Amino acid sequence: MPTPDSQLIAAWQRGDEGAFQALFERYRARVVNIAWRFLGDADAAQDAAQEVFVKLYTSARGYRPDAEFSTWLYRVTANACMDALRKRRRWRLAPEAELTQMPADESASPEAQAASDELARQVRAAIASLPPNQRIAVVLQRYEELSYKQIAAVLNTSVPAVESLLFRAKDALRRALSGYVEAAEHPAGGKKD
Amino acid sequence: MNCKSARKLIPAHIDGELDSQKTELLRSHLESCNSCRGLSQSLRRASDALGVVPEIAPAFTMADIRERASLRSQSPLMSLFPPVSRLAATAMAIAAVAGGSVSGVYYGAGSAARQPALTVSADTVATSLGLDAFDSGLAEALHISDAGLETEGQVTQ
Repeated sequence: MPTPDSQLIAAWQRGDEGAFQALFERYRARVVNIAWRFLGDADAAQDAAQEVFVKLYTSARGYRPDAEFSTWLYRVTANACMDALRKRRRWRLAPEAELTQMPADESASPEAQAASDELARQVRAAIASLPPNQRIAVVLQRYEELSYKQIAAVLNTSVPAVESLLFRAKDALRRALSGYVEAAEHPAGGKKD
Repeated sequence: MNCKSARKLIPAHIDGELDSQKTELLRSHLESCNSCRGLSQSLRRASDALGVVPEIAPAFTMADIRERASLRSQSPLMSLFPPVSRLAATAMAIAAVAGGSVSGVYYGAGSAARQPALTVSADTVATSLGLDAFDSGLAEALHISDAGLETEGQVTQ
């Protein structure tokens, strides 16, 4: 059975480097993929994820277990994503919707691969078009499968506020992806009701 | 339940966040309302589509975190710069040093007593900015030698 986060963080706070390494291994893929879904840029996501672990590495001794460690880590990750977004805007870097090319799935036919790539591009652009607070709520709910209550704890807000954020976000995504949604509802040129 | 109330509940229903009472009320409404049922299906398809974005693998190790933490402790201001702008930050630092040099020459002209020359090495610039070895290499490429850059004039007080 894996060592609970609370024990690892306590060991790290006592100076046990191995405990930090274990937390790092446990969470680094999750953190980098939250940043990736939020920022839509693989390089920026790797950088933001490293910032999260640097923050953890340098400030874990100040962590007080008044919340789940994962909640605290998600909060630090959300803040790092917001900071990365602000930096991109401040330094006029490529917009977040300017998307990283993903490696091809060699098992798919060229046509299927092209369709999949195009849909992935549309989805990432749609997510990138959301306001940051809606975007992080969607990423935490859809990809990390956090409950509304957990998202409220991470974002330090109420469950009704999360409901409202996700309602607006999902309606905006539905509109942004209307081409795909309608094609799925009416395949092969089917007629609308 | 009317359409306005039903539509507000649909995303939470898709996410499995509704209690049993609201779920039953919504289901009952969706059975009798084509428009809300269509919206529910569209939202579900859009939510499903989000799953096509593939994951990426972390491209950093624990050693990278230690190194970055160490650099950060030496130069906290570097966190203000995005990584791609570090070259720009290097250039700004070099320009600042060069500017000091030029000012020193201008204001120092004619002065009998020369102040000690300002010496800045590539390592100093790189370390002060929290740059890694690669960035330090860039500083060197900008003609700051390892032996140090000695200004021709002096920095006036």
